[in-house]
Amino acid sequence: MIAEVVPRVKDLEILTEGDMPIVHLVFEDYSVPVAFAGDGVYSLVRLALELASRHQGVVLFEEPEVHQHPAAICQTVRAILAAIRRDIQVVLTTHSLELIDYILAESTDDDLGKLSLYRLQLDDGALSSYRMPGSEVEFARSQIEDDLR
Amino acid sequence: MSESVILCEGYFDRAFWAGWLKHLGCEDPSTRGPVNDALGRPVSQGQFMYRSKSEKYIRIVPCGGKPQVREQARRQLGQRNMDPRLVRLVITVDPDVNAHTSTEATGLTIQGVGNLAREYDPQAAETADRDIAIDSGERLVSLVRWEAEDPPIAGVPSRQTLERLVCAAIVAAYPDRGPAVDTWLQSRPDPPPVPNPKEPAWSYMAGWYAEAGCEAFYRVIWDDPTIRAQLQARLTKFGAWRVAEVLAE
Repeated sequence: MIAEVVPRVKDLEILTEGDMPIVHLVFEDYSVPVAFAGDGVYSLVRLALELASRHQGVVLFEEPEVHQHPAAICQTVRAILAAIRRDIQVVLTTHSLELIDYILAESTDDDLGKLSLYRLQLDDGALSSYRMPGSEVEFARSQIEDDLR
Repeated sequence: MSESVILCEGYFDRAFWAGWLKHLGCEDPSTRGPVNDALGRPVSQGQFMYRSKSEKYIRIVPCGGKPQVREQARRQLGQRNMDPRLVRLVITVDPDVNAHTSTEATGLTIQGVGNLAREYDPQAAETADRDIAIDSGERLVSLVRWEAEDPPIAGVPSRQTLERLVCAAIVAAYPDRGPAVDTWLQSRPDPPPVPNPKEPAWSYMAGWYAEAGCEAFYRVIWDDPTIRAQLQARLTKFGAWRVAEVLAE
C-alpha cells in the first residue's frame, strides 16, 4: 500500500534508536524514519497501522485526507474499507469530495450497504443532521454530482 | 446562506431554463470563470448556478430522467434545513401524455407534489398560486410541467414535452416552418416506426439554429423576441412564467 504512494519503497521496518522503536520506510539500500517522509505518508502509515492493529470495535478518524496526495487518499480509503470488511466500524469526518468519491469507487455493494453519510449543521448551539444511506450517497455523487461537504 | 433549486430531467431542460432565466435578468456567473455556490463550493459538471436580480442563488440540476427528479426532490426536501438552505424547489417534468387525446392530468401533478412535500412536513398545503408551502410558508415547492395547449398542427409533436412547447412556439412565431419540417419528416425513407417529439425539435435546430448546436438550441430561441413572446404566452397559461419571474427577482 505504501509502495503505491512512495516509489521504490520495499518494506516497513521497526528499527530502534537506543530504546526508542521507530518505524522506517525501507528502500533498496537505505531507510528513513516515516516521520521524515512527509506529512501525507506519515498520516497514511499511521492510519494503516492503527486499523491493522485492531480486530474489532470502533475507530474514529478526523479528516484522514489532510496533507495527502490524491493517490494517498485512495490508499487511505482502501485501508479503511479493508478494516470495515473485518467488521471494524469506522467513523470519520471529512471536507474532501475526493475521499467520498474514492469510498464510492472502491466500495462493493456490501460496503455501500454499511455506509452512511451524515451532513451536520450547527445553529446557535443546536446540532442537526441529515443521514444518507450508501445508495443515496452513490446517487447524489454519480447522478446529480452534488457536493456533499 | 440559501438557494432556490430547479430540478429538471436533462441537459436540454437545463439549457431552456438557462435561456429563460437570462432573459428574465438573471446573471450567469460562469462567464467570469469557475462558479461557486453560497457556501463557496464549486458548482461543477452538470449543474448550473445563476444569480437573480437581487443576487440570490438559483441552482439548476439536471437529474438524468424523470424518476431521478422525484428522488432528488426527496433529497432536497430532506436536507432543506442544511446550508445552503432551500428557499424554493421547482420540479420540472415532461407530462409525456398526448395533448389531443388525454383528458385527465397525468404524470406528476401539483397534488402529487403536495403528497411528496407532506412526507417531510405534514402541514404542507397548496397556496392560491398553486405552489406547495412547507415549514409554515418559509419554503415553497413549485411544479412546472412542459405543456402547450395548441391544436394539432403540422410540425408540432403531440406528446406533452419540452419539445412540443418549443416547437409550438416556433411554429406560432414562424408559421411557414411547421409545414416545412413536417414535409421533410414525411419524406424520410424508412422513418422510425414510432414518432418521437425530438424529431421535429431537432429539425428546427438543424434548419434554423445549426450553428448553436443541440443543447444551445434550447437557450438561443430565447434570444428571438417573436419566439419569446410565444413561449411566454404558453408558459403563462400554466403558471410557469410566474414561478420563473419570482425566481428571477
